[in-house]
Amino acid sequence: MKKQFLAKSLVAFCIGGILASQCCINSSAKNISKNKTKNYFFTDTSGAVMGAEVYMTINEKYNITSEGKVKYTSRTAYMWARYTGNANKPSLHMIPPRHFNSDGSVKNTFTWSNRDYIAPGGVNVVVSIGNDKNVTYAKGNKKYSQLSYTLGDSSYVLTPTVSGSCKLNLGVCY
Amino acid sequence: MKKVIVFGAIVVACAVPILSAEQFGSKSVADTTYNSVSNIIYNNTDAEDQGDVVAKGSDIVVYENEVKLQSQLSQYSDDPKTEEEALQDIIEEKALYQKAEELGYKVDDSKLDEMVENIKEMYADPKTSNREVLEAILSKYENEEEYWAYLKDRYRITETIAAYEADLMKDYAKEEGIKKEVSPDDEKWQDYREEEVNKIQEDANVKIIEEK
Repeated sequence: MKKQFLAKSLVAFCIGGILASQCCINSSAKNISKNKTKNYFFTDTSGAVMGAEVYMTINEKYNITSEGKVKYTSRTAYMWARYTGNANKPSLHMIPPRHFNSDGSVKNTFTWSNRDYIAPGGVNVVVSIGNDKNVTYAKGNKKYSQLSYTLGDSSYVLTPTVSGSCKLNLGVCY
Repeated sequence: MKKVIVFGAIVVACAVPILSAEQFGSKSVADTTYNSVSNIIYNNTDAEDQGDVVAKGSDIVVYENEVKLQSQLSQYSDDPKTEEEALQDIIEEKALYQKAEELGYKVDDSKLDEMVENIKEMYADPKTSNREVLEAILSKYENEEEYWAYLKDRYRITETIAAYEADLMKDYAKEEGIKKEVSPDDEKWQDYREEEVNKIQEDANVKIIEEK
């Protein structure tokens, strides 16, 4: 009887503990979306200035564990750019949006392609997420403005920058 | 203690000019590049003086300054071109544009105006990161409108060709039975495009004029 009571108490204690920990994790579940937009000029080799608007969104879902650590359940980065003058058709878009691994520390590769095939020059997009000590980057200068970038572990600063335009036979780098 | 202060002062005195020089150094490199690029653009986009004719076809004329512009600006790109290579690119572009026009491709003036307006708006927008690029170009022109007119002409060419090439891509996809979007990097598409462009260039019958 005593043993049975002890066993039941133990089970109840365990279940209670599990529920409590779940409850605490769930109560600190976070869902954050960050946006950033920047504009850049670049020049093709005919001397025509083009504009690129770069948009970034990072959606993060994470829990705070009982030890106070951040545990990502999902991190999705979306980034796309469009050339000015082509407002209705984003000419650069990221396909497809990819996920970070759940620990948030894994690098991933993204690819954009110039869907509308209008870019007379490439645009080199460098994305950094994190502070200077932990720079992760994105770089794209492939033919037809195809862009790829790598995202690594991040803090909460998004800094898309575009450095020149250096591809095909047209882009001018500054 | 005194020695430490003296040493510290020397270190600071040395470090400040070095750091400042570095900062100004990188800025001046950028300034020089902006300036060089804008000089090249300004010197070669004069509608009244385009230099000698360097190539001629049935309906195509290529001028010396167009070639200089492309070749000189490409030196700042990842893909520098000789004047001969730049000339080939220009012939290809002109032949494609001519063909597109023949086939009835036309971009509305209102769309081109809107594109130029977008650039102007971006120039006025403080969140644009590198306004100096355009600032340097515009500073060369006595009348900014000359550059805006040039820009509009360039957009007309690139947009018309883009519309034509988009349809060429559709034709290719149809022929190949491709239902999803064709990637511009698709090698077979590139071969297809090259073949079409070669045919168009042959029809344009452009002859390079040898220097005397």
